[in-house]
Amino acid sequence: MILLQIATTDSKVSTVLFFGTIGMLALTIGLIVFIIFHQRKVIRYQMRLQTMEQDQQKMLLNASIRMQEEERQRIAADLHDDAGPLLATARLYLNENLVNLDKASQLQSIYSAKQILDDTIQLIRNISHSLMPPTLKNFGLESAVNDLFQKISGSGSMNASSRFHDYRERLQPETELIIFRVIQELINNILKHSNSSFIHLTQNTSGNKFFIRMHHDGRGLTQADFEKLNKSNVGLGLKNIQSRLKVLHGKIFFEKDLSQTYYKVTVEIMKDEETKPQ
Amino acid sequence: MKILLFFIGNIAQFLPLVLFFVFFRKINKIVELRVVFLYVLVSLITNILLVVLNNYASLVISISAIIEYAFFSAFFYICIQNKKFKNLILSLSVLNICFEVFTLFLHKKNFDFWATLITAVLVLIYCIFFFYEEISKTETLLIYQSYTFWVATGCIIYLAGTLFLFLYTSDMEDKQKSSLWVIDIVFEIIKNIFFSVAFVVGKNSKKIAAPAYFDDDTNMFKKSF
Repeated sequence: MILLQIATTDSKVSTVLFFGTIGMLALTIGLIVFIIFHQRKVIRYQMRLQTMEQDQQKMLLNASIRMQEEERQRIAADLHDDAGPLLATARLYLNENLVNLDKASQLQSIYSAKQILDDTIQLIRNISHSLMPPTLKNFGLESAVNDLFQKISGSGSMNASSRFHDYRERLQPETELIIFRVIQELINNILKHSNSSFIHLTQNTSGNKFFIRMHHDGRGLTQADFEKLNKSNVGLGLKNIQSRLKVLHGKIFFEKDLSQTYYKVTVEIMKDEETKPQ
Repeated sequence: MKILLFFIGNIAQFLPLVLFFVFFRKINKIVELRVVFLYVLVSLITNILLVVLNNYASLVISISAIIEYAFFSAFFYICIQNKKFKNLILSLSVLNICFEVFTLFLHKKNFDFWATLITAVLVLIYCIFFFYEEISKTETLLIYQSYTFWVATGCIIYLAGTLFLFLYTSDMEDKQKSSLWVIDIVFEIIKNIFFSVAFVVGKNSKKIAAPAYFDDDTNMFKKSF
């Protein structure tokens, strides 16, 4: 109303005042409305991201729990199906009736029981080694990986080689174990799904970063496949790799070699003290 | 119509003051709102002085414009968190106040075009930077749930609405001046309503508790400050 009165007043100052005030008001109100709507949009986007992140975390946690359960089941099965019958057989050889037998039979029974107990000790050692490889514990990641690759090569089904270029100082034992588990899981996947004829592993460092690169010539994954599998309910092993690397603030990249012949997996870990597993 | 508007204008000027006293216990500790309260109080005193010292009206208006700028700058100085921009506000405010005082004694008139323009542009820049900083924050609190938003909005609308009026005041005839002064009253009312909303919002605002952190030395969770 007042501004309309100004507009109708026949003066140059009034016209400038009218259009100037209207223009400034329009700009100000536009700015405030923009700020409110922009912020609402940003908040909505952040909440969506947060939900997605929570879902991802939940999936990783589920994968980790499932993996642990599977591992427990495997150990339980090993103990129940292998160690249990062996010990029961040893007990049979050493039953109460043993004292009533002649000396030769007694010796034979004791010898058989001893052999069964030796087998059981070996079996339990194998289970224990599968939980924590002694080479890794005593000699470090390089020796453990070389040992693993020699075993794969020794099977004759695949040519496996590894080379550590810059591994003068050992990493934290927990870090080494996590890296070793990631390598084991990757190799397990390659053996199961890739149908490749060779695997080659190299280790390098660059500044504060520790790299493990694996090449193979079979069927492999690209980063897009990895992310897709990570978001789906399948690919338990990959989720397990992801959750293990998350502990080290590490990254993993899947790509096809420039020559389009090989698949390459790169694991990147920070060497800093801060990356000690929490 | 004019008398009614003048009456509403006076009521609106008292509204933030009354609300401040009503919610005194809850908002007294908020520095930004204390600055706004002082500003409203000074505005009221200026209006009373304008009536009492009618012969010195131009001087009172010029001094009140400087004080108004000082309060707006102080408000944005407290609200803005960017240290570089805070220093910029401080330096520009010192320069601008010196310039305004200089023009006041030099021209001895109500509104100097350049002083008014520079003051308005500076406060608008502070305001825009404040809004930019607010929307850059990652907090999930909506901007209009913050009392500072209502104060800044009141400032920006008041300045945008009265900028051209103040710029051309010196070029107007007395009759035109008195008729157009209604614009100032309207935007004063809007500004005071926004400030009142800020006091109401400030009453409900709760300080977000700082997250606890784990102290490795004592092996205990401690409150961060």
